Amino acid sequence: MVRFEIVGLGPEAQKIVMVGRLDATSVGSIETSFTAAVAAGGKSVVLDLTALEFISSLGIRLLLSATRPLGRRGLKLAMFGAQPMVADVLEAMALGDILPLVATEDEALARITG
Amino acid sequence: MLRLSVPVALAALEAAQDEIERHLTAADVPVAVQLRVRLVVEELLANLVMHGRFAGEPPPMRLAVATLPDGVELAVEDAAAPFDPRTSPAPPLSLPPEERPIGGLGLAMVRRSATVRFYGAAEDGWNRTVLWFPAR
Repeated sequence: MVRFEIVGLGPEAQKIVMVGRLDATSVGSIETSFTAAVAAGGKSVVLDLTALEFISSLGIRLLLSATRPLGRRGLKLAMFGAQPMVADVLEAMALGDILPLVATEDEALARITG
Repeated sequence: MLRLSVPVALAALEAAQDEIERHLTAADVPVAVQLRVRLVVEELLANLVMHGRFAGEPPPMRLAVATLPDGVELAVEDAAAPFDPRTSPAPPLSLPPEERPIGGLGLAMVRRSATVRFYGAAEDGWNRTVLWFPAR
């Protein structure tokens, strides 16, 4: 199961907190709502992964497709706080520039506003 | 040894993953290893669902999980057309992520998470893949 919560972060960014397991079983349950939430905010996004326990290739595909509309509007997405399994998977796929992963929320904010 | 017969359908995935997880937890397998097994089971089943070529209705895939003192061995057998996970092309990391073919991503994860110890034909002609997860 996976869910997400949107937290305001001021005029330039919104924070989205991802909780649970983002996998083949769960990704369909948030695909539409997550993509819409990322796009509708009209802001850059910091994605809080501290409570995300698991991610698979279908989870990564959702993150990539949800991020694409941001780039077209000059907005960015940065992720922080990944647990070891999630960090390992994300780093292995060399998603660096489009889905950057940093350690802390402050670093993520610096990434999207810098 | 845990043996499971898993329908080739994403709807069947979670129950299989959870049963394997209970088996590994009971055997005191570290959580990091359990998550790698979970990932590989998902990527292999998803790959079969999306890309497997079967003669007719796919029969359930067979999984066998053995916990050993130094790691976990997972044997997977399926009736799809032969497909060697060791030699499928890796996603070209030189391309931007959004331009890479999605299909290769899952197999790249399999190869990163486990060692493929064997790929070949099972006794009945199915594909047999044996994967090893060292308990580091």
